[in-house]
Amino acid sequence: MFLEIFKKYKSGFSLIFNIAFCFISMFSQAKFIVSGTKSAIRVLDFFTETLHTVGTDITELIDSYRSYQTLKTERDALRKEMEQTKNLRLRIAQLESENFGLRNQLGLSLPKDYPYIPAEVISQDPDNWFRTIIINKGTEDGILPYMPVIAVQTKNPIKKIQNNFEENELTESDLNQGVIGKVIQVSKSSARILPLVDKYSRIGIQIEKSGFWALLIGRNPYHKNPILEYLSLNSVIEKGDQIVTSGGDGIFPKGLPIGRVGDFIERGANFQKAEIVPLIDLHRLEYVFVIKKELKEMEQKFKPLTAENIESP
Amino acid sequence: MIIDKAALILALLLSYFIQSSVDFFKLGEIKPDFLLILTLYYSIYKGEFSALWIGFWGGILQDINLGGIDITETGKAKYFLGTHALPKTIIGYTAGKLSKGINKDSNFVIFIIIFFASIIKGLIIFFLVAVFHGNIAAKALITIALPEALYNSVLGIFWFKLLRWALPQVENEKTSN
Repeated sequence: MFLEIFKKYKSGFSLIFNIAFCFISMFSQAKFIVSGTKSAIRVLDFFTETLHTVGTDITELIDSYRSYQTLKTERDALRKEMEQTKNLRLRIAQLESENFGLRNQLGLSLPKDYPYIPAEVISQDPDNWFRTIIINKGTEDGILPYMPVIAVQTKNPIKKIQNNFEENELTESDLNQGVIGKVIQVSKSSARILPLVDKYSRIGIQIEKSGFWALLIGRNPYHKNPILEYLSLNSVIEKGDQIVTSGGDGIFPKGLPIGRVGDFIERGANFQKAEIVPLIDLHRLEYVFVIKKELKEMEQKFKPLTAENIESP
Repeated sequence: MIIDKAALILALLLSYFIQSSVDFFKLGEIKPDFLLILTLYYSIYKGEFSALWIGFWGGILQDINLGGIDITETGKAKYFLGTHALPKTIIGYTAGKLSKGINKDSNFVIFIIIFFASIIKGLIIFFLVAVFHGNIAAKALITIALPEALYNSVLGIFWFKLLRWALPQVENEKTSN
């Protein structure tokens, strides 16, 4: 009897069940959901990384094919040996350009006080409403929650693709190095990064030229850039001023570049606020460096710097 | 029967992986929602029962991919399972109910269904974000929901053709609702 009723109204029952599940899980944050989710995350991240690798290989294949077509046109005017040489050179340039970020990054002045772990971004933004970055390194590689993450990127993405190997040599002036966020969750072989533009992100910062401290707060997804808040009115800031980490939040080492002051600057009654344009373009993110800085015991005892802490000390 | 189920699971996982791992379809700041398009495909061609479960599991996959958001004050990660599952479940069910008897071969009809479904999804997520994740301004509906709806609708027309080619058994089966 009950089975017949259920079969007759199975869509309605399923709808009610699913809606109830969603609301209960969102309201309760129940333990069984958390542990189940953590297990599912581990499995999904494994497959995501596998697919990312396959996707990269396919992209390489397509790129190789396109480049070959271009070369084919040029080949008509050249002898066979020259064609083979060019093909080879092009292939070398392509392979070089793929690894070119890492190759140059290794020679850069990354923070010397801490070792760092290079990692590859395997997933970004599963939906337009949220910001998440997943990398292919986890606890097995020594990554722990709250470790700072930085990246190095070319200022001009076009410069990345050039056929001549020698022209690919970059200097530090061609590259941007900056903070992109912190690790918030780690599994065995993957980790999630909270980017500095996310609305949950809070980073203690310093205006490089004046030394004044402030707080960098991420914003909702429709805002591209984070905002600097609680900056003293005594500090004079203008567009283009460099912003670095203050080290006051206990998570990021002091002096890491973050971004520059953007167009929006507002002087309030008690504090100033300004839009900050990050140095790193998150949409072009391929590789990152996780700085192996663990939270000290004393730092763990104190609440991190947040807007709420400042408002009600 | 087993092959159909396997094809469905494969389609669900592929949609999820394309969405989370591949930036090829990203247009500016906007990514299409392949899981929503798959849900709508099943709701139109198979019915609300299949669609609501596909929407539910597709949404759960997306919610899992968000991971736990740790705001560092409590030291505990917060999981928001349901943020994507809820709108997709509702849309799967509603679209399945409303799309009976429509002209399933018309691109315009497909466009309209995907557009309004995407807008409704945007509205539901907007409210869920406002309630469970903190403040959000209504501007997000214009800058996120509307472009995504347009992109989903245009891409959806072609994606539906691909799905009809890849999953022909969905149309051929008699709906079990």
